Amino acid sequence: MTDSPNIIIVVLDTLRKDVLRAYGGGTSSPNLDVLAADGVVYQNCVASSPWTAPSHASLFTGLLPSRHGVHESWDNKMLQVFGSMKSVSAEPLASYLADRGYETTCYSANANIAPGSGFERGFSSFSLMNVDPPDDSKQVLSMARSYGRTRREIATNLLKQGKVGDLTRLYLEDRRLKREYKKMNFPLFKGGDRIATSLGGRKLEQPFFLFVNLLEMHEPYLRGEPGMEPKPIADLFGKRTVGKQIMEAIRHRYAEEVSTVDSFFGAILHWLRDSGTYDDSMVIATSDHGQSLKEMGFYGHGTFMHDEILQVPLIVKYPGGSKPKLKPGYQPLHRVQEAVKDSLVGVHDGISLTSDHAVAESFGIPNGLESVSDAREFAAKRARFDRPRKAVYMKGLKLVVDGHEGVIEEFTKARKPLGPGEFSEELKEMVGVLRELRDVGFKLPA
Amino acid sequence: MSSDEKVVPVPAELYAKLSELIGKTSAESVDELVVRIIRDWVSKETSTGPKTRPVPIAAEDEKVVEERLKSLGYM
Repeated sequence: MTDSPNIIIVVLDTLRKDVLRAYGGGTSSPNLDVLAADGVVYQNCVASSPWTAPSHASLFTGLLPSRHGVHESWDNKMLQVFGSMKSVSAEPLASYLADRGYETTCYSANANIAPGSGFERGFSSFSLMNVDPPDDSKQVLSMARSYGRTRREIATNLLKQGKVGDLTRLYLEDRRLKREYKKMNFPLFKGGDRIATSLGGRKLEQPFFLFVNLLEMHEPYLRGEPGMEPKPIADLFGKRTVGKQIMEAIRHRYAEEVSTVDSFFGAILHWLRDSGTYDDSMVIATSDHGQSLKEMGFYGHGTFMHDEILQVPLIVKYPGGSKPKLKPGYQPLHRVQEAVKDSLVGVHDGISLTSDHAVAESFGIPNGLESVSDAREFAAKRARFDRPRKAVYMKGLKLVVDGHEGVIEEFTKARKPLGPGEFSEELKEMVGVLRELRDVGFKLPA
Repeated sequence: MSSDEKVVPVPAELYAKLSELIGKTSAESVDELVVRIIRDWVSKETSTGPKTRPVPIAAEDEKVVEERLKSLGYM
């Protein structure tokens, strides 16, 4: 075993832990089961944020979102957040490892972790591999965009301007795209198959750092083309509400996606074994956030601090098969990189992973609000949802504070609400943790 | 302190400075911060150093990014 083990981090995007067998769930994921058997299953990993960009920035920098700044706000949504990782002053994990002689490679299927996002800092090779419209469709799609945002808007404007030829061209292209997406097996596959194939043909110089984001568990789940499934953001505002029947189909498909992504994860393990590097490598499987499937009345992720969104799996296979004793406490996602850095100096005890508490931060709705923000009828709903929240997990308790009003949204033990006066000392301690963050403008309970 | 740990005296003034700077890090105590600083130095000194400088990657066109985010259902 060397002091410079290969490091492999696989983010199974949008994977909640409770579906996995390693966490008592029932979904078939034999390859993750193998990693669990060879490594350590951490029970209390908490995502730093309920959506991709801030959580990945935390994973890469070791800082909470309020510290690294890659997060949404009332005025800044996903497109504005894209690229903000470029100006983060903390050294990203890939740079740290590159500086210590590692070949650094990233395969991402998530468009938030794409070239130009700033997440490529420190990687010598960085590939975005997701479902992308075929090149010859892009021109037509670009033309369509200049006439509006929705299909109806585009068609209406084309008709108004008498451009029947363009409308016909667009209609035919739309049909062709549907067939193309079907061929790509979208939405069941969202790039993982392409990543597995590309990796299979590669040989990386050792030591290497391989970062992979597999997106299969992310919505959309049902329709064979982008933009057709009711979007979580629309559901939040009461538009195109996801009904019981569709939700049931989504839950079924989510489980199917877990098994699908597990097979792509298996291809990565196979590639490691084939190259003789599995045993001495550090292999980490985790997620950036989970997914609410309407357990709390909300479908999707981002914005809220539900357990289904924040509690993510963390399975670590240490180099040489070390199995450190589990220390009681929580494993905040942003501390994962400390365990990686420890492994470079031969420390494989997992101690730096664990803390007596874990914090997650949200700063409002991350999604673009183009379709809803201008609608007067949704203004009140937006004001209610689009606000900062922080969650603290400590001593088996959970506290969620709405920082816009400084009120407690949730104070629970094992998901059961606590009454006034219960665990008051612990509550003070948890509010104290948030006070320590000294986050400007975030109101705390009196 | 566990039997796997050793004590290294740190001058009080330096300790105080570290306490002031801890807010800029994710370390939860001065002890943790000191261990991280030492670890990072050791791993740098014992490494072979960078192989190649990472190649800057060109930014994507905003429209392309928007399209990809849309395909995820984000927008």
